[in-house]
Amino acid sequence: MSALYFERTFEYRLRSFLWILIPMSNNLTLILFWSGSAGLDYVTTYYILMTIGGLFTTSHVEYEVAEVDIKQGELVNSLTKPISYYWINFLGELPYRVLQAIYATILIGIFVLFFHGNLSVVLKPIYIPLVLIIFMLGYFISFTYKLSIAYLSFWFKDLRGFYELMMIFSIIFSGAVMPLEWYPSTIRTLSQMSLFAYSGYYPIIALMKPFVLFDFLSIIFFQCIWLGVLLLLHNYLWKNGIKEFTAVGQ
Amino acid sequence: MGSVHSFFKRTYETSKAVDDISFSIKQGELVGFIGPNGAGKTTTLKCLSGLIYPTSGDISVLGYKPFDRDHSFLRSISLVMGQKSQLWWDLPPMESYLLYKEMYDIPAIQFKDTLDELTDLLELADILKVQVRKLSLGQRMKCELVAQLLHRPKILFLDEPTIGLDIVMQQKIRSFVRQYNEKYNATILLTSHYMDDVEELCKRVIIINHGKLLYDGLLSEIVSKHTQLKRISVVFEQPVAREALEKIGKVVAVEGQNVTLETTKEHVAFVAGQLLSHYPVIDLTIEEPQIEEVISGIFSSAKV
Amino acid sequence: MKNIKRYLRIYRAILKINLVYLLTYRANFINNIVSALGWGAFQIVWIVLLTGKRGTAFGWTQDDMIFLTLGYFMVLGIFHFIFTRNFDTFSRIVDRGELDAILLKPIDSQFHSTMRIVNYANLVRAIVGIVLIIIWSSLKHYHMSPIDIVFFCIYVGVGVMTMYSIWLIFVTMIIWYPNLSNMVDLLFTINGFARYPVEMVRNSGKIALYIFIPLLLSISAPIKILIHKNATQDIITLTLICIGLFMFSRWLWKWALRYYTSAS
Repeated sequence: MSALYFERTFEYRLRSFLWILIPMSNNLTLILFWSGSAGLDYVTTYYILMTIGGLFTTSHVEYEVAEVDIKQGELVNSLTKPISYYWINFLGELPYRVLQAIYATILIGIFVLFFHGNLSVVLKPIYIPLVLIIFMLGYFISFTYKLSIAYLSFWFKDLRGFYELMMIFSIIFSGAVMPLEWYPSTIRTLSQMSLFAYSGYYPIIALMKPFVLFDFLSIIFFQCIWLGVLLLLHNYLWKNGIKEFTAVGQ
Repeated sequence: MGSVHSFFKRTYETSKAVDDISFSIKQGELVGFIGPNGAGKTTTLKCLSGLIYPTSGDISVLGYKPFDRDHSFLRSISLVMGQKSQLWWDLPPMESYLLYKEMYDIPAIQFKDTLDELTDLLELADILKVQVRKLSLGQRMKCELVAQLLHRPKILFLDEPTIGLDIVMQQKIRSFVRQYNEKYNATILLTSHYMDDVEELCKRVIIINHGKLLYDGLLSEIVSKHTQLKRISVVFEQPVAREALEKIGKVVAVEGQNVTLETTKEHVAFVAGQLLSHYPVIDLTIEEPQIEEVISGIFSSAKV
Repeated sequence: MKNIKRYLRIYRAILKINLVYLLTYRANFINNIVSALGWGAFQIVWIVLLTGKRGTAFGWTQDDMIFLTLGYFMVLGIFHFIFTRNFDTFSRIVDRGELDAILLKPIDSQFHSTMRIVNYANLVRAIVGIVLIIIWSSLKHYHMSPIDIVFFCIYVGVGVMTMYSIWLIFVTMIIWYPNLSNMVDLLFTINGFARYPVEMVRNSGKIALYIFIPLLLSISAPIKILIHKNATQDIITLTLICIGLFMFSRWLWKWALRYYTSAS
């Protein structure tokens, strides 16, 4: 099954490359916006790491699940397999992570070439395993959350407006606009506690800030809490949603 | 690993969809254009209607070069594809017709007359205001035909118009196509995998395979050219021994009292005479081999 | 003249059929309005957050940049109203051979393929944008003469045509690569450059980024007319760029059609 997903992912190279260009061009405008201001080095590193880090921590499973599997009835193909739907989707996403790693390597090279004077990463090598765990948990938070909201298609016919609103919240609260510590105080507090921050923001900050062991363990702890909550939500939505599934279109 | 390898290095093959096909069709002709899947029929139609730019060669339709897509040319032709709809899926066909009326600059009176005529011929009055997605395949096909004929094209390219339709609907479409050809002296080039379409409508056929022209001529000639055999279907009063029948002609099938023999055209009278004089016969029929078998044989041998 | 009248009649029929569609799927329309206004509001929140931290940048005050964003809100409403749905479906129609139906009609294929679907929800966005511009200019005391408004309207049109040409150039690549359905997602992101002042790229010193100037000018130039920043050079540049890009995009479209292979 994994091999088939790999084949599908690597088939369209140019298409995959465009997926990388999208966050890259967005963050490029932000780097330009901050040029000439104090803190440029910090924010440049931040947006570059956001671009690369986002490739690993952002899941895009919701469209396939909501539109293709649930609404068009393709879910029947997965229901007959002796593996949980959660892990089937995870396997489907796995090749994209490998592909992103290839592109990320190219991007790192480009960024170092253009912005080498402005980059600063303070991570100590001894903490690399903890950062890897934070990235992995960040991905699982994004994946589980996206899968859960996709399950709402079991009950609602058209959720585009809702998905787009959630995407807007995700962009704002994950620090995609600017580092969360620069937000006005109320929005800052809310953002820093949100699941979007634990998925997208903290993995980046873990690379940039001079954290000690306690800081890393705190992030991991709260990521586990969020992941636990999302898994409970996921299981609840799946158990009840599958009863509503009518395989229309099959 | 193969997929990762192909990410970095790939090999490509070129294949010719249409390879040196030449023919001409006079105004008012109804020609069948047949070949197996992947022969190049649809590609040829798309070149003729200006959708695809040919790599080499000349095409002239009504004196125009199709790919120039002159508006006068486009107003004179129509391409109906059995597997594709040109109507707005979520709206009734009537809404699409009103849009096409403007696109084709059809005067209001002509539009009404043509629409009334076509809806009568195809019995569509009840469904013009029903959403296309709620129509059956046959109804959709008829609405599609109306959409493509509102501007009364002089040339009609029909790409498998009866595909997926039931027998009754297929007959209705055939009857309609014949009437349209007779009434407007429209030139029609028809592709179909159903030999009934070709047999009923076309005197002339063009056969292609692997992009190459195999035959261009009368359908009747290809049948007679390709088979010197006749089939005799007999129903006996009681079963007859196979060995005895083998002495008269080649036995093709035996089912109790029903027997089919095959013999040459020269001997068919003799064999029929032998059967009628020596055996108790309830019924006897003499036929050509099925046209599908003949055409299928041509496709396989790639020779005419 | 006769041709222009003909195309106006055809466009009226297009507007009508899209209106019938809207009235058939009202919930879909409401959904689209929520989405359009949501993204518009998001742009405003975005710039308020950024300028809240940075303040003045590239010679533009926070108020000017919010005004620029409102201009972006409105212009994008117009652009998405007329064109974007067509670009959105492009990958699908090329991949499935549905472009055939468009090419067979006796009207200009570029016109037909880029203007046959209209998104009325974004017309709502454009109108809300105009209202917000009026409110903001009155709150911040931006004074505009009738001539400023006329020129603003003309250059909004020029800006929209510039954006259209850029999108068409990119989307035409889909004829060679039909699976690039995410090309439009990339274009949405690149369009985001237009939220910022053109000076952001000019002052960067990075020549490679100058390719984004047409997009930035498409909003900056008309807004500069309204807020009385020195707009003469930008207006002339935008006009020339618009003409050049439109001619190139049209040529590219016609040339690309030679490579269209349809689909079985």
